[in-house]
Amino acid sequence: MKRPAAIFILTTVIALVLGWGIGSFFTQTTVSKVIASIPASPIVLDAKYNKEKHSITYSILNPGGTPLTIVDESFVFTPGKNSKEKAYIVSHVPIHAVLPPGVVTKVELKLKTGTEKLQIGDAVLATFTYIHPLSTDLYTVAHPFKMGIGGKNEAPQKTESKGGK
Amino acid sequence: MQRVLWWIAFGIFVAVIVLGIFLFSLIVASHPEATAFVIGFLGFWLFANRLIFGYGGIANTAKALLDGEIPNKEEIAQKVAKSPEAAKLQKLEELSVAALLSMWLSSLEPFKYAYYLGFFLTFLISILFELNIISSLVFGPVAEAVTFGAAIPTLLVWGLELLASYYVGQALVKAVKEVEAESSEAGSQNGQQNQ
Repeated sequence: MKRPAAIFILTTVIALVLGWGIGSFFTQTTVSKVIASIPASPIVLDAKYNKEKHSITYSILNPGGTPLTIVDESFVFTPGKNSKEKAYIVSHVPIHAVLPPGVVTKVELKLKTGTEKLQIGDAVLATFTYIHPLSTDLYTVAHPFKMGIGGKNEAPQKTESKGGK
Repeated sequence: MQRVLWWIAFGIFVAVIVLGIFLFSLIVASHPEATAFVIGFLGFWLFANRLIFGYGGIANTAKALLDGEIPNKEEIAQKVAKSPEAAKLQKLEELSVAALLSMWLSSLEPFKYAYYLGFFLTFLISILFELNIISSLVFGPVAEAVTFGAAIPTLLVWGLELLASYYVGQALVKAVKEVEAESSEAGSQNGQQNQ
């Protein structure tokens, strides 16, 4: 009687695979529910200056599971060597930008109207204030942007070294 | 007195049902996938029950027949016919056990077809959700859980069907051999008588 044994083995193998599938399905749903309830801090992936609109567009990733809402933005403008503009600070511009979970969202930051276009070497330090649904606290993320310089890591390193001296 | 007792019993009954619905809705609200899994499993088992026990019975009887036991013909005839009277009118008891078993096997065919159709539709819906052809965060996992629950009785039906058709095939081969041996014996006896 070879055939019944073969049927038994075949059914057992399929049952094991099915059980594996069921187990991983339930693990996946519970884990994704847990992850969906954890708010994360947004990550600014990219910043681009738009000359026509005189604004900077930030691509912000929300790596967590809950939606985050940017409620306000501030920025500090520091002129470089080429610029004739003076340094200025614009703070607490109210906006309402929702960052859905797991998605890159573009947020526009309009520079002060009437000021000159950004020149190479100008720096804009933007601070976004955001909230998440689990608490009423305010959180911030600051992103330094230097016109015409690709390496984003340069700016924070410089500020650190200044602080050290 | 009796009326009072009746009302008390009725009140307890209603309270139990209300509490049950409350608990059930709590479970559904917090674990929709687990509930869908259980409902898929129980619901499909309901339809698979006839197939599971039918194929199981066929496989058992055919195995017993192969081992040399003589199963009760009337019981098998009742599975095939609508009623004992119908079985008598159809003269099922004149048939061999193997023939009755093959009739029983083919009588389960429409049920098997309907069952596999139901499973296929459920499977199709969950595949549509899985491949994001239709997308819903609420119904996607629920449809998938129903399919997983339904897959368990389906696997049982499938395995038992393979087993039952194998044993019935063996029993039929054995029965045909016996019939041939009998007819050849009868033929040789006839020949001897002719001589």
